[in-house]
Amino acid sequence: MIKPTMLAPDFSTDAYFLGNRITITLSSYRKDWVVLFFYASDFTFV
Amino acid sequence: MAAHHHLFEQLGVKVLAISTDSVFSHKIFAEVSPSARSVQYPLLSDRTHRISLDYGVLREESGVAFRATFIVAPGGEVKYSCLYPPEVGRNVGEIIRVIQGLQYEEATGFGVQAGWCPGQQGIIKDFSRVGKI
Repeated sequence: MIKPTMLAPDFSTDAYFLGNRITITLSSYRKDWVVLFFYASDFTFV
Repeated sequence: MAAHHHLFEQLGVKVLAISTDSVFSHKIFAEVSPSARSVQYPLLSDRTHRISLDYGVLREESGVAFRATFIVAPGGEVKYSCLYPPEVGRNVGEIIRVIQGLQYEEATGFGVQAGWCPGQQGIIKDFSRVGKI
């Protein structure tokens, strides 16, 4: 598992955002604080 | 989560939610689920499991990710990582407190003690003070 002090592995992937299908690339957020929430499945409690 | 999004925005934090579901599933989820309808952040699809594998949070027996949280600082360094038991949901308030503590430490140089909350004084990080707190 990725731990504090490690570099966040970059990725680029399909996403749903406000009605649209977009591509999200983590490294495009290099100037921002980011929180990544992994969850098991849609339609289960998050 | 969705109910707390404005707090993340106030702190300048971008929220990304990610599961191994498809974007098609995400779309319907966002459209029909009462809890997802107010979601103001992207729902990412890790259909190949590559991202969950890279972060070490994939449950290979089921193809889904653990409920996991990562805080990533500007520049890409991971500052916080956490795995929850599948049975228990997150405490988003604590994640916000950790970000506030990180931003406070960055701005002031003060240490952020156990139980610190915004508005409280941090502690001076100096070896001479070890054992005095």
